[in-house]
Amino acid sequence: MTQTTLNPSSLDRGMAAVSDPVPPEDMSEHLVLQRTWQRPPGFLGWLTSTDHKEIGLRYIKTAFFFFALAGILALHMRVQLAVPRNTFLTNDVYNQFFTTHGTAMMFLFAVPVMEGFGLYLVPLMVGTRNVSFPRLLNFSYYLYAIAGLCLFAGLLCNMGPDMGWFAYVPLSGPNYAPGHRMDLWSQMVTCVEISGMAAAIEIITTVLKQRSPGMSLNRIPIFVWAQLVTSFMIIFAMPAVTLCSTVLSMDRLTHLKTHFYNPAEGGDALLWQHLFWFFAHPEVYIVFIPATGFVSDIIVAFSRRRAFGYTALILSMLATAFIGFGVWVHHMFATPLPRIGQGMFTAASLMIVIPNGVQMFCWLATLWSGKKPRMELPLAWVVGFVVVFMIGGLTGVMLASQSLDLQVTDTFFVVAHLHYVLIGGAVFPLFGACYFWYPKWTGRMLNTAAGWWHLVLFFIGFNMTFWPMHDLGLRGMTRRRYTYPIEAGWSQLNMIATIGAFLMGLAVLVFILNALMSRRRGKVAGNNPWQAGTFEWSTTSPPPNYNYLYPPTCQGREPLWENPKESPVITGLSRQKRQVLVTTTLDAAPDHRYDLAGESIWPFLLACSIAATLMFGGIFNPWYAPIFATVVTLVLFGWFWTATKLRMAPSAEASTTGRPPFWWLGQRPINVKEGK
Amino acid sequence: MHATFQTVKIDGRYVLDVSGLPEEGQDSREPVWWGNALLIIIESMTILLLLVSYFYIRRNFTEWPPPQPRTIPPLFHPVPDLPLPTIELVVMIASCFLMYWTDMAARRDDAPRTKLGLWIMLAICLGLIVLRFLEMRSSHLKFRWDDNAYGSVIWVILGTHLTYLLGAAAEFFIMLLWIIRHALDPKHGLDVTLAGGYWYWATIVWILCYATVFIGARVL
Repeated sequence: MTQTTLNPSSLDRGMAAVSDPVPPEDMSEHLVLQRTWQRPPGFLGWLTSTDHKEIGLRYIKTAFFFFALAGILALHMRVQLAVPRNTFLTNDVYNQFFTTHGTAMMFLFAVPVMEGFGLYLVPLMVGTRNVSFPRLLNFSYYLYAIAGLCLFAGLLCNMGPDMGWFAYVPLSGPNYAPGHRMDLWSQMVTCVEISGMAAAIEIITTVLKQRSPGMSLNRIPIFVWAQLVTSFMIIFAMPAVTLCSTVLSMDRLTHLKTHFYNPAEGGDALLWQHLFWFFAHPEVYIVFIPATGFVSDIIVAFSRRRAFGYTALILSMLATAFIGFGVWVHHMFATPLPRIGQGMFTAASLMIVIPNGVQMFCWLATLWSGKKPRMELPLAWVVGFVVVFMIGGLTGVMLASQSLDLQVTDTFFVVAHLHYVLIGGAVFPLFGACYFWYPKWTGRMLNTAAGWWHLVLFFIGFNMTFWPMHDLGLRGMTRRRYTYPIEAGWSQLNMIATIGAFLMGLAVLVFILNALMSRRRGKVAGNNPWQAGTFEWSTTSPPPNYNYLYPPTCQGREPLWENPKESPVITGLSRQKRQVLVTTTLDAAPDHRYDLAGESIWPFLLACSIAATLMFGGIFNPWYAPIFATVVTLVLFGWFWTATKLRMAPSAEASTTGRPPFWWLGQRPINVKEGK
Repeated sequence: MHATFQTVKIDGRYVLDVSGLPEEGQDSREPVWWGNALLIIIESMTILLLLVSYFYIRRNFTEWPPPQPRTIPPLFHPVPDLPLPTIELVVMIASCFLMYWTDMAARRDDAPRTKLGLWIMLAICLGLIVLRFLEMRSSHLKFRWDDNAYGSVIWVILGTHLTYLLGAAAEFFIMLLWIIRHALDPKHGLDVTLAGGYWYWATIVWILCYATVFIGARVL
């Protein structure tokens, strides 16, 4: 055992650059890497984890937890609406339930679950060992989790928001919504979006700078492209909602009382709608584009051929993203905006059908020309997606027309449309993706029979719930009403919808039980149960904490199918440090080696202090904001200071005890213990 | 330096040995540069939408700025005072040259000059913060944030830019402390470069805010 291997001074950047120590003979390379990438044990280690797989899965599990809670709220609403003049929920509770349901589904489930998939899969798919900023990853997760818990804690304390998930002013302003319900909503939204933007930064930098050598732009897997496009949309869209929700809080706080949305003092209620929908329409694509990534990858894997029209698929995603920023006014057709402007937004909304149509045809062509596609569960969900999303897309074309939109605005027709688009466009592919990648996460397959039950129940339940709502909307049933008279003639359709909702609930229950039970009892999957072609299938299931023993190089769009046998793997990255290879942005040529930061408590503290700044400052008294902002600054100093401290000069205690002193809170010195 | 192909086989495979590659990159070669650039895009979107809100709110008033009836005597054309923000504008543009000089010193690993540059930048930044507090008083802006929507929007625009100045001051301070306490290593040299990019951006944003709030009140 050589001294250079284990002397902590080899952690020094200068030293390690000169000689990357050779692992001792009694430790296989796997073990060295594993120890380097392992997080510290115990609760603190769990709390401070920076592994993209662990945090990505945590994102997915948390998002499904909020999905289940929001679904339970939806079941309550359906029970209330099942029969006329029902008194199961009061109007106040009903208002809180539908707002929390919409808010949780959009902000706490749809976007985070897609981000969770991205954070888990993108580094694996581009062939690297972790995301670019592992601590930011940890921070973004906790900010999201804290915000979500605050929303449901508020609901339990009768502080649930009750003005609808888009919180139109003046209804959500200080005059019509006293109390702290909407304050909680707006600060929660700000927290979640800050976390979303942090995750987007992770994904963009990882895709642009850490792709495996050879993975030029035209070889990036389609799902990774989808995540890249989505992340850029997040970067450009989410500032709008953080701005408008912060300003809403400032309008509402009795200590500030600004007048942005107050028409009496020259403010403008429509300003809210513009700012909110400038974010919230792209949000729909932020949810939908990753789902198209799932669909593309699943179809390619089961068709056993490269995607038909790869370039067209990517360009369609980009076009959808661009046009998606130019259609927000179609949510505002019922407002007195200039007619010519509304006409242009109608045209833009119709235009978005073109790239989506191109994608559809590319998928169909891939399936058509594939080598005997096998109808396995992931592909079956994709077929479900095609059917349901088509219907949602057709009502979308109807709603894009301003004259029809005016007739059905705020009716159940819109409720039906948005659920067909969002559940059809995002949740169907998402479930398909769960069946597709669950073996990679756990090493075991989900139970197929339970999976088919899940699909059939969900498909029937979904259509039973939402198809009648088209009719209800056309018959004049407005959305967000907590009850209706028997004379309205809506009873039968509402009862059908309620039965359907319970079928959907049952289906999700089957899925959750399946996921929990297959964790231990499922069929062992092996590395590549679907014989798919992207990198994540070349490593073990579940992948080791360092992802790849030798990070791969890429010679095709589906590297596992196309890479020749003798294609090289990468060596020469440090095994004692968490080091990854940085490649050039366009061509992915090797550029330099890059050290990643290790675990630290500071990101968690930052998430707590930012949440405190926003929650206390935005809900109770604005003077809390500068006080907690000072804490945020100090925490950032701590983060900055410890990010590199041990790399520069490893402390003497650390090398003797193998552990940093308890107050250290900084990066764990790696592999020091083995030196003794 | 380039990665070299070796015909050595490990587990029967060819390897691409990257151990000869450097451990640092500059500018856009580093992931952290991209992280910084994306944060700047996020903040740019925020401030741009805020400026758009200013023009949106303009449509609701016949007079701009609206008359201020709460002061004695009432003001009929209460434009915000110009001297302090103009001083800020000149100082910020001039300080960009100093920031560039500091960045170049950091790239040469010239710790004394980097330290000097950061000291002056920190002093300038603190001075600008004091000026900003002075110019945000209602005697200068002629409006409080809760007078009307005009007062709200200009106050929030200036306040948002104030947070950028506070952020820059905190950044200069902590980097200075690091260099004094430890050394100017390549990683923190890159941080100086990134702080430079942030400062140029804050200057551009101030030019836009200045044009909107102080010139806009006079010409719109």
